[in-house]
Amino acid sequence: MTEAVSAGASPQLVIGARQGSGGPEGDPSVGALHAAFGDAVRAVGSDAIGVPVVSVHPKRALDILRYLKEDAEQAYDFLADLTAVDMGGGSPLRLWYQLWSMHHGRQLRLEVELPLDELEIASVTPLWDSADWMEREAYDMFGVTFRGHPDLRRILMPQNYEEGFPLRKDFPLRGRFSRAEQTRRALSRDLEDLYAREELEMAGVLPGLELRNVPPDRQPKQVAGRVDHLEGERMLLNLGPQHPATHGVLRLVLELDGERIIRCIPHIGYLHTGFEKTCEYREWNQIVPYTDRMDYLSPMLYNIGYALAVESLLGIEITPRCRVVRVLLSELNRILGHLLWLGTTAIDLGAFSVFLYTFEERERIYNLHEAYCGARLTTSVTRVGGMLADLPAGWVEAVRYFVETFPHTLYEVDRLLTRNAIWIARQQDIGVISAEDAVSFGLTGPNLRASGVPYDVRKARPYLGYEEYEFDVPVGEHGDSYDRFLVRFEEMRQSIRILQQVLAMLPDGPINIDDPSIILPPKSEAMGSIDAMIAHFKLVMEGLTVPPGEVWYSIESSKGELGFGLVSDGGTKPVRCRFRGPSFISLAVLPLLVEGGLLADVLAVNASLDIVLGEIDR
Amino acid sequence: MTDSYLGIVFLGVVGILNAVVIVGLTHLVGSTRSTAAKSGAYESGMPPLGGTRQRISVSFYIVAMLFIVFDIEAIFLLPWAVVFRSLPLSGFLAMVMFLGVLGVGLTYAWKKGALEWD
Amino acid sequence: MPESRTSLPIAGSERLDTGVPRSWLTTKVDYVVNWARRNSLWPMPFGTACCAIEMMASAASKYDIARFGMERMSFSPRQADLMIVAGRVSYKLAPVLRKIWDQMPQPKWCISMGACASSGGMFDNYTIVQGIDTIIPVDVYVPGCPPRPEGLIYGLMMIQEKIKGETLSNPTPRAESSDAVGRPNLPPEVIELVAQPFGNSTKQNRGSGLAGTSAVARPADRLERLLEHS
Repeated sequence: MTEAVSAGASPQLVIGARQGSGGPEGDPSVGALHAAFGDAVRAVGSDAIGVPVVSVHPKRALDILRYLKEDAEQAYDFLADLTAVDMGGGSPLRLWYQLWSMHHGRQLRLEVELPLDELEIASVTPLWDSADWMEREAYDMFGVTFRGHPDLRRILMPQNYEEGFPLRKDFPLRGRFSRAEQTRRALSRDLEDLYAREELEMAGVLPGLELRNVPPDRQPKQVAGRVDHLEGERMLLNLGPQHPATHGVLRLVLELDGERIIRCIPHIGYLHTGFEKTCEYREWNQIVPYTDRMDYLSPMLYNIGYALAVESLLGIEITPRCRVVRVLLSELNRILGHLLWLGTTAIDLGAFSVFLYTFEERERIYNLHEAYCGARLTTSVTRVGGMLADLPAGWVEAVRYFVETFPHTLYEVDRLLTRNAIWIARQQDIGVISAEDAVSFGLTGPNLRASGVPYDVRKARPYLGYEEYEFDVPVGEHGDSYDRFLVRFEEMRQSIRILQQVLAMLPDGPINIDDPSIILPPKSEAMGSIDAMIAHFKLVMEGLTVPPGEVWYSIESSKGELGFGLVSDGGTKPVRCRFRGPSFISLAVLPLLVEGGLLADVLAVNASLDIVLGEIDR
Repeated sequence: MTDSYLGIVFLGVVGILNAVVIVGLTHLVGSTRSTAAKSGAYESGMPPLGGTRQRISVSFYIVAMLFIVFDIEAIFLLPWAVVFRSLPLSGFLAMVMFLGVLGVGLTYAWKKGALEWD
Repeated sequence: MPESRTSLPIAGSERLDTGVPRSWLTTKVDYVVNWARRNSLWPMPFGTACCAIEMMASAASKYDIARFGMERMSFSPRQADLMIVAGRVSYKLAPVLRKIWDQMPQPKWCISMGACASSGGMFDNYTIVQGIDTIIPVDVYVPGCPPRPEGLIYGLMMIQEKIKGETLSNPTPRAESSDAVGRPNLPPEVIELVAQPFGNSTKQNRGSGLAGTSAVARPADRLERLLEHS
């Protein structure tokens, strides 16, 4: 364990393998913070990709963050991630605030250390709306109390979860209770566990209503004066978790006045799989199959992003061929993800044929996946330092054929939908979000770009050589569902454009780096040379060792900015494995978009946000 | 005349027989295990909250009423459309008057905002 | 082998399907009833994660389950015959699963699609149910992560075979009691047995790969213990 982990030591930031030019002290924000806040700034370092990390005193954290957001020279208007890291061994809990300035194009991470007996800090929800759900998750997983948060209750675990805070290091992986006890408790949840306090009160508006199975002293209080004599009474309706159109196990509790939505309260966590906790118990390469299962609609994007994050911790460069192959697979998976979005959105709004057309195209991409790695959707295609294997013979020709024939399907779907009166009526001016709200709510990807903010990680912080490809990033104007549709549709065309360039310049050469301590040597060598055999043995039996460091690395996934927060203590398994799924942030904006609208529009807006529950609930 | 109605009679008899046989057979050979859960309300897997005796928003009634009226109008239009070429001018004018009366009603409802949701 | 359903007294009316001895007539009736039931199954997709996408692919044009009469997916349990649990089920979702199963009228069957639904899959942790058969009775398990659409279709055909073998004179498969509503399908001791870690699950630790613990029980040992218990 490094010094950063020992309990009671003064806070030390883990310095990564690479630093940005000029080091962290050369960063203008760091200088400004020193000047404005003096000794509230405890330590300065940088992470593995050179992003400055500033550790500050918890009592001043809110002031510092407000300064960072509102000062014109800093203008960190985008909160990319808010999470915590438990290093274990009784050491203080570290809160991470990952910031990005849209205006200046700078990243910064603020770190706050909270002693385990005083896990309390002021909430930053007044500054960024995206902090709402992220702070609820930090409370749920770590037990951090955020003072001033409007509704601090559990988000991923069941409401009255008794076993504790799962991501803490003293929480056992399989939970505190026995399986039989967990099953018994799961099946004996009553109304108070399933509905939030405010929902019970909403239902209690009806005069004389008594909730079933709830003792008299726990009946919700009646709220006087909320029912007008001539209006219909409001109804509380559950949409989900088992529902055809919620795109997964999402539960929306709707308060309805006739067809109009008065309140919408999303409940998530029905697919919470404990990825982040489980990955702390897996070696670095064993985590790759877990990344498939989060965004199972475009799995290779997760594989690639994760591999890039670990490679940045190691400070290695992948081979040119690997870089181009990863771009090829990323764009193919971007199309895969958008095709599913298109098919399911169309079927939600009644256009069944489009579902069949898009799934037929997805089958063609599945064939490409299967030819390459053997699996249709749980691909696990990257390894740290390269890929699982080189492209099979004839595979590139198959991709070329796909790239040539796919635009025809796009053209057909375009003719079916884009100028269709029903499609336009159900999507235009529905679910409008302004650019300021979108940035404040932390939206990324097509959801953000449809509101007019031209932020794409491939252009803002290019990786994998994206700066060498010619492609446009479609940006919308109105921020409604129709613009989100048009942006994603055009993105598929731009992905085809990138694929054409990739196919024209795919270099030869090795696919994996030549470092047997990081990636398995070719089998022929492992069987032949003794060094390679030893390296193979070590890698398989012991696992890859990543030097101490931390990184927050993000790529542009089909749904938005996908972030990986990794902390290594020099071992074969990560200390913290954070997955910042863009859909988690996107879903938080749903109540804002649907309240005041009609019931039918809830599903149209939900579909237009392109969410995948696997990455929301993790 | 009896011949043309015989087809409709057969349709009616077969339809009723079909329904009776299917429901009857299901009643005879189907299994019945009635539990509390099966007779309870379904709400996407969650126990429902809120009472069942609620006052429904009046907009639903208005939409339903308008639908009935214009549906009946369509039902009247259909057989007329089949034979209207063989009818004299008075047949055409009668339908025009019928549509006119309903049109006035439609304009009133439209202007009053009954076609918008509240 | 422990039964997938606990033995329960039969509630409900006594009709043709209670203990009528098999004869030429009842076998003919069985044949017709089973033929009708297995060729018009309306599946209820309880899709949660990746397996749900493969289930959707089975319903799409290439693997088309419409040729089995199953294109009409019923999302309401009242009109469904076959529940396909596709994907991992968390403890938060468990009461929903049980409730939906209880709300389905007989005759009903269940397919557990995928490794996560059948046994917890690659997630042996605090939040995933280690096999939905601890909660609801399962008729066919389809292994895979995710199973290919052909795998799911094979599972569907196995359900059809199972239906072919049912008879109105044996009411046990269709038995359901009001006492079982909302309760787990397996008794606590059996849940402990089937949910215990085995093989690589026992090596879940934060040490290096070389410092792993040895497997506590291999699959064959588990089988012996389960057989002992029943």
